[in-house]
Amino acid sequence: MIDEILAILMVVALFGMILGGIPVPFALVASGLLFGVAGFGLDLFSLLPVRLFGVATSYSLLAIPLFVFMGVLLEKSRMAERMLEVIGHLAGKRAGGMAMAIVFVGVLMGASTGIVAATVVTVGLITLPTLLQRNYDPRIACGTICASGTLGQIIPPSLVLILLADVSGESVGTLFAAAMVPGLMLGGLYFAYILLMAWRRPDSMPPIPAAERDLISQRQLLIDLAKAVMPPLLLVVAVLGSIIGGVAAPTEAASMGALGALLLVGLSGRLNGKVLRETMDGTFKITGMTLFVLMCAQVFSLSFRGLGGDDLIDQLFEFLPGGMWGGLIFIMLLLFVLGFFLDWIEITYIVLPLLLPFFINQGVDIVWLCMLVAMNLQTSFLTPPFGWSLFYLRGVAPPEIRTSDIYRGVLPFIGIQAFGLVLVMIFPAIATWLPKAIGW
Amino acid sequence: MDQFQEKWAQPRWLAPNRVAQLPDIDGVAGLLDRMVGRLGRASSWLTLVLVLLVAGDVLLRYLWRISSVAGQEFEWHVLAVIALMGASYTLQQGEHVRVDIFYQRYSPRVKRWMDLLLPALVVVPSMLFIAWLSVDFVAMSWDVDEGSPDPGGLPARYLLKAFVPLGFLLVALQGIAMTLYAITQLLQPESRPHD
Repeated sequence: MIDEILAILMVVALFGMILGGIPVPFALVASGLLFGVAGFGLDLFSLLPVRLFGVATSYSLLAIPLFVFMGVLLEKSRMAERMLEVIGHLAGKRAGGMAMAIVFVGVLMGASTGIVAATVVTVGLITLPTLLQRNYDPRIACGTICASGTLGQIIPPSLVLILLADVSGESVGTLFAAAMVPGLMLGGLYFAYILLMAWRRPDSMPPIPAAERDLISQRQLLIDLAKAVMPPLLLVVAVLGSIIGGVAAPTEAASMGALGALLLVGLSGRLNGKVLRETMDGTFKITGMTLFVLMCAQVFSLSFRGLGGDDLIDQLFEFLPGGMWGGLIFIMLLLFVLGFFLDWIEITYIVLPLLLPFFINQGVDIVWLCMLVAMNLQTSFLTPPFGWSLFYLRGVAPPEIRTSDIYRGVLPFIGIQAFGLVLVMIFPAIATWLPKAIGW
Repeated sequence: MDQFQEKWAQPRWLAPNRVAQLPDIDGVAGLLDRMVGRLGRASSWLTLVLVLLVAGDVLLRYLWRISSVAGQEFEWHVLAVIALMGASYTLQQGEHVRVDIFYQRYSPRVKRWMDLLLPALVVVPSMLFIAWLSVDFVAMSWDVDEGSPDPGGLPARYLLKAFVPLGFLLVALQGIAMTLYAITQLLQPESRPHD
């Protein structure tokens, strides 16, 4: 009984520390050590080094630095930026064209980097001033950028999916395949919304003026398309295709993606010492941070399990009405709220393992559950006032953009997200069809 | 709404919401800080090494059907070093984000105390404790002269395992640098420009 009280206090202490302003990894270690030692003494932790070493040498996590390297390189070398400019020009003829270009690039960058911060910052920095200059409604501009940026969370190869695979025991390829249709569906829904708005309120998203379009000839535009858009697009398609098609393991494909990105950037003449150093530094930091949190989470989960926290969670679910659906709705609401405070790494690595056994016992399709979790986290990153995507955009938005513009701008997209989430809930086949069809 | 407006005036990833990077300072704190920074920057090359290593392995395997157990083991050896060396570098570079719902409303005095207490009470003791625990883990590997269990694998696994205590020790050292700096800030608060 004392142990269980300690387990509850430990969770309370963790959240207290996080809300008080202690960075998550240190809050995890502090609460884990404090309550673990209080309950068991030092012996509990004799196995900790083995676990830390296990995280650091985990083969399934090897894909993370490789994918991150590819994405950061495309960003730092400004390949992603160039891509956005060309597509924007191509689509600029009609109302809403620029906004659709942003969704398209969001999908592409999501597929190449999978890093929300990078996508929102890059797309925000490049397009927001241009959009405003062309008299786009600031709300629509901000909403589109934030929402498209979060697509990286769900569209493979997202880091979220790699960690979800590690936690749930499903293969990375299965989850990548499962996320394809929901991810593209969300992109499509964004598209539909922009088309609708362009039809209802064309002056809120005017086309690029003809005079400006004429500066670049049709021929030049096609050359730009072939040079700036096609190569990274083909690279991403090849990497994803080989994983989902089962030709290559995720780690192998990721290494080819990183090598391919190096070649592309090299051939385009953009590879220099500065770009390479920034890429290595960015990759090192993102990888270091992710794995450090995972290692610190080991301290917490070791103590929590030791103190019988698992049983507590079981009892909690028994207490909930409505069986599987009751549990599912509870976990969706919980993750949505947690997404305001915690980064996806902590949620997938600390919260999910505690909740998964209940759903496995209930016979729930874990692939489907993982997709719901990924979409849910993505939505919570978009939701005011705490959504991370909004913070990233606020940081690069020009001062004349009001915070309330960003808040109101994302509201329709949150609606779209909720709609998409409910669709996948009601029709699990949206997520489970593709992996089954190709025999994962 | 107003308090949110105020909060939003500062981008989330900038100083107030991160555990700030130390400025360029003299003395032991500056020495430790620069050492961790240099080690981190040097280690960041390992990301490029990893890319080339895994890509080379894949190409050799698919094109010429050559594969090497040692080469594949070396891949996750490099990952482990990246992970463990990256821990201190992210702290040194001010990459750690904090939730600032309450933090942003603390007075400068409280913030200065937190800058001291976080490294002094949390970072240094916990990281030293983990480093100390893992010394035995390395020693056990050393005693049996542990190598790869697979034929053709890499020898001397204890060398790799030694990065566990080393990595956490470096985080602790960065924590000591932060503690020392925070003490000087508490002693002469008027010299701090940011408040």
